[in-house]
Amino acid sequence: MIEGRRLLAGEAILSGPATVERSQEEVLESMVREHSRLVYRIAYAVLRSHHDAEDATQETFLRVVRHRGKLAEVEDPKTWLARIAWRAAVDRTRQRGRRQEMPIDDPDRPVDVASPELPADQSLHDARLNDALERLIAALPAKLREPLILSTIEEMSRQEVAATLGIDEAAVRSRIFRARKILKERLASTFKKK
Amino acid sequence: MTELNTQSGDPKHDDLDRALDAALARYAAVEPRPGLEGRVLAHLNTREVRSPHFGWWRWGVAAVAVAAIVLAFTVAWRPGRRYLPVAGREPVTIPKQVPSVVSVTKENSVGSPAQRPMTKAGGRGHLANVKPHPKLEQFPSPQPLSEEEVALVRYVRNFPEEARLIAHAQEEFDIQTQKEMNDAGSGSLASSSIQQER
Repeated sequence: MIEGRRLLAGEAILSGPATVERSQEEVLESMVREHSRLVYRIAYAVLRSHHDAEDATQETFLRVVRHRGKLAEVEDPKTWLARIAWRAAVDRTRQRGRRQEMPIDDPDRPVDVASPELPADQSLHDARLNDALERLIAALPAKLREPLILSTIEEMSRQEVAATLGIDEAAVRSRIFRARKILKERLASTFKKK
Repeated sequence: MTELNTQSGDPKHDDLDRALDAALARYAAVEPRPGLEGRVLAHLNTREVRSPHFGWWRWGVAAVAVAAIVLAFTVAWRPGRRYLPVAGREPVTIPKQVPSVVSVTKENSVGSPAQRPMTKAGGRGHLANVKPHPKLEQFPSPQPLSEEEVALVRYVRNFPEEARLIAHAQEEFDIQTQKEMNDAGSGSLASSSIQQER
């Protein structure tokens, strides 16, 4: 047993900064492979542009690299990453200086491809609904919009949404409920007019 | 357009709710372009090479460069003794026996007609209480003695005979040089006139 401890201590002494740095790189790489999709989706939910979302994803992991000294202290890397991704996307929105609402003819705007499994009229209906929803969500107050769009990401639980936004879970539920209510009312009025 | 049933019995089964749920699911259901992980890792590796590790090195180089520039400016703009005011200088006494020693200076060797005020003072050129100089026609206006000139004055004071010999030798050399230049100039004029006659 004593010999085992000596061996461990020896390894600890021999594993200098190079080993520590290597392990940090491995941790970083595993974070990229495991969570890059989530980060991308968070960025896309905010920016609504594939190009900007990828840039924000790059920026997110760059920030992780800058703070890699704190990697060992992070208990929940997923939530930690989600928070950084959220901040990076919001910062990019401010830099862009434009509204969240996307113009219809924007080339980066997501295009709904008609599903072969659905009837054509259903596909068309869904496309128009998505289009209307995009505009309505963009028009929501930020306080209601942010928890709503994060909750749409399937990888995010309510608890993780709350941790990302820095609010409690009850506030998240309440705001999502209010946001959905507003959206339903506006969608109903939109489709009734047509 | 299909009308959405807004009459909610059970909210969970409300058509609008379902439609909204489906639309919200599609809202975030996007996939990144293939190879996102590879691009992110490649970008991180590139930035690692240009990371703060190299950043510290760059700061060091920049600091050295700034220090070198500051040093160069300091050396280049260091004020010399040339710019000391004349009035504050000590009186320099030159022996009366030494004729036109100052003609050895480079200004006088090129035939400058004006003499320095100290020689015109008759050998005992006291520069203390200097009166304002009259406006001279000489350009540039006389400057205070340089280090070399002060050294020359000191040499003349200490070794007058040697200074006299040097002065005579310099004069003869200047005369010889002028003669050679005149001969060379007349020779070229002659050859050109001969060519013109031809």
